[in-house]
Amino acid sequence: MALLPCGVHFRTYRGDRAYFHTKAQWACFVAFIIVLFTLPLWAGIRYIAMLNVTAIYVIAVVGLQITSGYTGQTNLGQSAFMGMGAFVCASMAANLNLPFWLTIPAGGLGAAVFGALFGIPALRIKGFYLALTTIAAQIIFPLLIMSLPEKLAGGAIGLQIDPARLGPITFDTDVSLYYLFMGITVIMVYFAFNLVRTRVGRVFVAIRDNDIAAEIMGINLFYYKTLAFFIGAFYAGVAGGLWAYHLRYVGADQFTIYMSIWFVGMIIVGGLGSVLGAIMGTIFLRMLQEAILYLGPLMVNLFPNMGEAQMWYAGMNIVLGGVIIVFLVYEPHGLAHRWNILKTNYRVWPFPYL
Amino acid sequence: MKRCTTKTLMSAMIVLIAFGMSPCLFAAEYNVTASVDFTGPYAVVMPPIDEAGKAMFAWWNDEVGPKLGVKLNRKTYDTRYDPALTASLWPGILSGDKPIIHMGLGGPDVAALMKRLPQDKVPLIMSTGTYGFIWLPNMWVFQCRPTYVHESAGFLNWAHMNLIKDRPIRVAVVSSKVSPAYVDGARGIEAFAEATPWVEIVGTEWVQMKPVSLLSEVQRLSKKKPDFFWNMNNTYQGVGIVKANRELGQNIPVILSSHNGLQMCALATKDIHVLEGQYDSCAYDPGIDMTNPGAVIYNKYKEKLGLKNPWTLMSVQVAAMEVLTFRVIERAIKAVGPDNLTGEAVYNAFYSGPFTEEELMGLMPTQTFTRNAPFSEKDIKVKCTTVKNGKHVAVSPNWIPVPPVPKWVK
Repeated sequence: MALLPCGVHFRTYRGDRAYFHTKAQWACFVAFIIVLFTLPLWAGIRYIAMLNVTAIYVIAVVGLQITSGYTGQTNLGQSAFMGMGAFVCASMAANLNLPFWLTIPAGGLGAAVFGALFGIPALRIKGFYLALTTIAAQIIFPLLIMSLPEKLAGGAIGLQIDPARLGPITFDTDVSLYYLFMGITVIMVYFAFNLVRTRVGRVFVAIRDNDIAAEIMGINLFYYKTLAFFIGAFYAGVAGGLWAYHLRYVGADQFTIYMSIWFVGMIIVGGLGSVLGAIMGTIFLRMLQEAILYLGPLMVNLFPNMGEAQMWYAGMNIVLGGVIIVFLVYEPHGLAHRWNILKTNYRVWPFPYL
Repeated sequence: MKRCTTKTLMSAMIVLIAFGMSPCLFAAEYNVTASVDFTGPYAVVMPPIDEAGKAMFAWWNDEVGPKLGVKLNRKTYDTRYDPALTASLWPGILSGDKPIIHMGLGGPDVAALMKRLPQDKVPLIMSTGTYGFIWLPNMWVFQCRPTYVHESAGFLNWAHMNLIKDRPIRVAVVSSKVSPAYVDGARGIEAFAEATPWVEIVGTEWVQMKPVSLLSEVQRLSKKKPDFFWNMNNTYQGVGIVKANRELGQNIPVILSSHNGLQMCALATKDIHVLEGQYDSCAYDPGIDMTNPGAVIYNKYKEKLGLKNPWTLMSVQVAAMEVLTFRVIERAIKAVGPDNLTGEAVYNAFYSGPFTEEELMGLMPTQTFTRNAPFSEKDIKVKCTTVKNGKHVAVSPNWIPVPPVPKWVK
């Protein structure tokens, strides 16, 4: 637990367990929410578009954090679960003409059921073997989609859907989608923060720390491991639904294993076992990717004689991987840990320790 | 003093007149953006593609643009063949560069952009074959080529007229379920065979994306005595079928496309003799005739710009797309003037009538776009090549007509 600001103490357990202890912290949080929802008024459209994709990824990665970070279940199929959610959502929107506030949760549920199926083996296997099982989800997913009736899942041609609508509001621009995505992201993150503080969250942590001891203590491993996959995949499914409304076209080849690996990278960089870490890791890696996309052409234009374009673009990828490696060497606990250290240092300043 | 003033005034007038006669100095500049991929699936073929783009843009800006008072800036963005990156980058490209047209690379660009282009009012042009899922009306996506099924049908038409005239041509399909695009192609060729009495599909085998060996699959299909194998997916599968044929001691020809065609497979096998008797088919010039005007321009600018890659089918693919783009822009300039070019003007220019084979430097047959489809449906033609006595040659000097292909996507 982070150090409390000087002079702050509580008489109740509820107060002690609160996320925001002081009025200043509440004020900062409210200011952050205001900035978040007024961003389109003063930030460029490029940044809004970046944040739209980042918001989708945040939801998927928070779900992966619940499965892998909190419950310790290796999962390399989060992208497949996201794809399943996207297809369920798109199918219901295209075939049944349902509104987005029904199709997105339905997409989440569809993905959750699909994910739970791959969580069942988790009772008997773990680590590398569980990772292979979840990779199987990644391989099965496109084959399943293309085997289903074309009217249901689009087959090889995918599904096209109309933009999300809420009464007179149509979410078909980057700005309108930003508000939709941010609203849903805030709700999903709120639930995640609360989930990990409930009994279920504590059970997940107990399973991660020592599943045999947890079972001896009376925890139903099969139920809770499957539940971890169910919840994590639900998050991925909601992210998939948002993805469907973002592009308004879903194809089975949009959800690759590389995306799943990036998701795992995001929770590692952000810090395993922390919802805030999942968010920070996602934002950090997405911004790094965008920065490299911007720097590549700039380097090619500034130094045309120093090598072909291929050298600069491939070099940028090396920089991306190198940054991740260096980061993990010097801060293996992730960005969330570094953030906690920063907060503690701020609170005890100018003293080095208490 | 008076003489100096007069001389100065006269000099100034001469300079002003000279400037007025040099439209390039006051040329309107427009951006043409392009997706590239130096780090993803296209990484291997990107260098010749990028160099062809540089050469053609340099030629147009030197020879054509100044006469029209327009300069086109080519700006590339590494989208890594990823729809998420394309979707993320596009709003910035749109607001920052204000492109009048975007040159896409493949399916991810279409997937990411096709639903928003009508609103953004910027057309997207593609050099790859059309997939079934975008064979739709009223698209802001323009394809320089018809579907891979059309291209295959063109070859089969040539085979029907020249090789197997008296019975249905038996075709064995080798495809993969790993990618929806591959499944789409297989469905398309099956639909074509159903609608065409002189083509018969004897069997279909589904293989891995990058198979180590296709011996079992080819052996199973060979028992059904096909005249040709069909694979328009990737080089691994194309070469895999050829190798399996050799292992079985047979030489049933394979019908390939451009991206996994004879030139690309020769790079993979490092010996063109391995591909003796195989065929490829494409709606572009095959890139083996160095007297083609596009080849002449490319080779001239290759020296001038210090480019490294030779003129190949990959170069043709991009050069054809760019020449078509230039011709469309020229018509748009004629319609709205050099200072009023917009994406919408370029979009409307696509429908301004046929772009003849001469205008397109013989790189493509005549293109006539309508709002019914993203590609030119009128008089579709292809060119096919083979390897004969170790040489890569065209099967016919002329364009081969493509028979009607039913739309397999409802």
